[in-house]
Amino acid sequence: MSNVTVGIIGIVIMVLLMLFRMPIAFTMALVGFLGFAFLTSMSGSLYLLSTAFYFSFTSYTMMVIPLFILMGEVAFHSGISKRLYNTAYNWLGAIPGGVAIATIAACAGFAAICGSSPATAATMGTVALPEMKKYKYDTSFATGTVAAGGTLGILIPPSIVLIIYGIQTEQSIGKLFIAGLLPGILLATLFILALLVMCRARPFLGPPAGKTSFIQKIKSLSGTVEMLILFALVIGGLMIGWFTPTEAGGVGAAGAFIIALARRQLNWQGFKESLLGTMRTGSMVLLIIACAMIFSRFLTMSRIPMALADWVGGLDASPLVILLCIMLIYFLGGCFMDALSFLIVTINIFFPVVIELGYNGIWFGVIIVILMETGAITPPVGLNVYVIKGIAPDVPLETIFRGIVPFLVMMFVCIAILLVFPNIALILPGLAQ
Amino acid sequence: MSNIERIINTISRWINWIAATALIAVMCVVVINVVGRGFFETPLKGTVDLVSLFGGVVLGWAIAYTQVKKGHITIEILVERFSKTTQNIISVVVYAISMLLFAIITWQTVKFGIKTFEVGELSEVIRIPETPFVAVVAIGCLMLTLVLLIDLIKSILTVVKK
Repeated sequence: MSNVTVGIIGIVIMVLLMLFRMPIAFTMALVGFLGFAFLTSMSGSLYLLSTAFYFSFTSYTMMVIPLFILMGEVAFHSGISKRLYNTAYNWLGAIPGGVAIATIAACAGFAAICGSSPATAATMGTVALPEMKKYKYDTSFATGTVAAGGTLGILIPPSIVLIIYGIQTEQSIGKLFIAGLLPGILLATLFILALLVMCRARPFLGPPAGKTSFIQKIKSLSGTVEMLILFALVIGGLMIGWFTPTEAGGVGAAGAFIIALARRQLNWQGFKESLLGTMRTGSMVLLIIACAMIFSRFLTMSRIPMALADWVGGLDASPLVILLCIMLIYFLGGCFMDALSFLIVTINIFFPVVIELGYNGIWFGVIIVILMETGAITPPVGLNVYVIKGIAPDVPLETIFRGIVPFLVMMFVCIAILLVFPNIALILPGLAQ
Repeated sequence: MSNIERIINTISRWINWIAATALIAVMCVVVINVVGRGFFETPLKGTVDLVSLFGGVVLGWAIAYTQVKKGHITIEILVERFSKTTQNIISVVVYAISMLLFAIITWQTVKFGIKTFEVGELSEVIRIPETPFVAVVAIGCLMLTLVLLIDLIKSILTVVKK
């Protein structure tokens, strides 16, 4: 049996175990361990097992993940979202669909301090859904807006997905972060355009809210100042080279705490909940990464990534077609599986192929994030949709899924624009050099 | 049975809080280092060592409680279509494999810890012995194994009762 065959058998077993509800992390460790033992030796594989967890957990680079999750959790529990929404509402509420547009704008703002898509959807959902209900917005339209707006959390830096992509593919996290900024703004703009067009065609979707005075508009800006400062400090500091990514995460989390305490908006309960949330998400992600490390050693040994890259390199298809196929795989994978886990499982297989095709690794990271975003809102496994369902339990899932369709279209438009103009993602990282 | 379960869950919860405290400590160490370096030209010596080793506490001691709360991501779409009995039997098998896997991981991590003790492995800059931190990770894995064992016993009991 060739190594590649063993690798393929391993992957099949892993997928089967996953489908039988074994935690994704465990399936990777198990198949990686057994497969590595089969291809090398049992003692070698046991040694791999003995060090994988210790080395993954006690890694300075890895600590960037829990620190950025903590930053987002603190922001989530400290009412920053409410103030962001108020600012956006004061400026945008009076136009048709304005409350939804304000929601997208506030999501984009919150995304600048939070790197998680469900957290952004949850925090903006609790604030914006009752408001949209108050102004008699169409339910499907309103819930779809929040579910989709939340996905901006992982495109606009900081971004947990980009951190993990950076670690797995050895790309600079700082460059990935700033690469996400312009595409994030572009996507938010596309979302807002979609909202404007829809509300123009069908005004009942989002009736305009009351007008606000110019003074109110100016006053409301104060609610966002500290967020802008924190964003500038963390992302700017990372871009200029003041901080390593881990330091940026530490400073960001500490900054979020300071803002929350200065505003007297983080009580003991909120503090505990933000820590518990961080430990839960952080340990879940890091366990997957530790187990993926075992699995990827097996994968390397099976030579599947190289064989695949060779095979694709010899194909008579244009690089673009192959890239589109890989993108389709990520889109479908994100539909059926938790998108982030899918990314960790597969990136070591597809990244070499994409590089072989001559695409830029930073640019591909941004594309991957937008595909992760589609995964977060598409059935059957659309995490953000379930988050919104949790906030608005009386809204049927189908209604929310119907509401996301225009945003999904905009995500594809955004990917198409990035394919034609890759510089939208690459110009800022280029400046940083 | 419920007593043992309660004890294991309680320990998992406690070490999860210790892990959370360690994360706050990591945050403080990082910030002290950045502020010290930026404003006083005196970075905190051994920041990388401290952050890495504390990472063992942060993550090693959180994985068990995450399993108590069923926070390790699974795919539900296939199994939820099966009958309850089939689901329970699948759970037994899955928990048995998972428990065995982490029992082996615990055992191997302990072996690795003994090796670092014999060699006298020290962290790179400020020379902290690494063995206690390998032990921390091993204890974390052990707790995860025990939580999985409880899950296994509970799933077996559900199958037998039916």
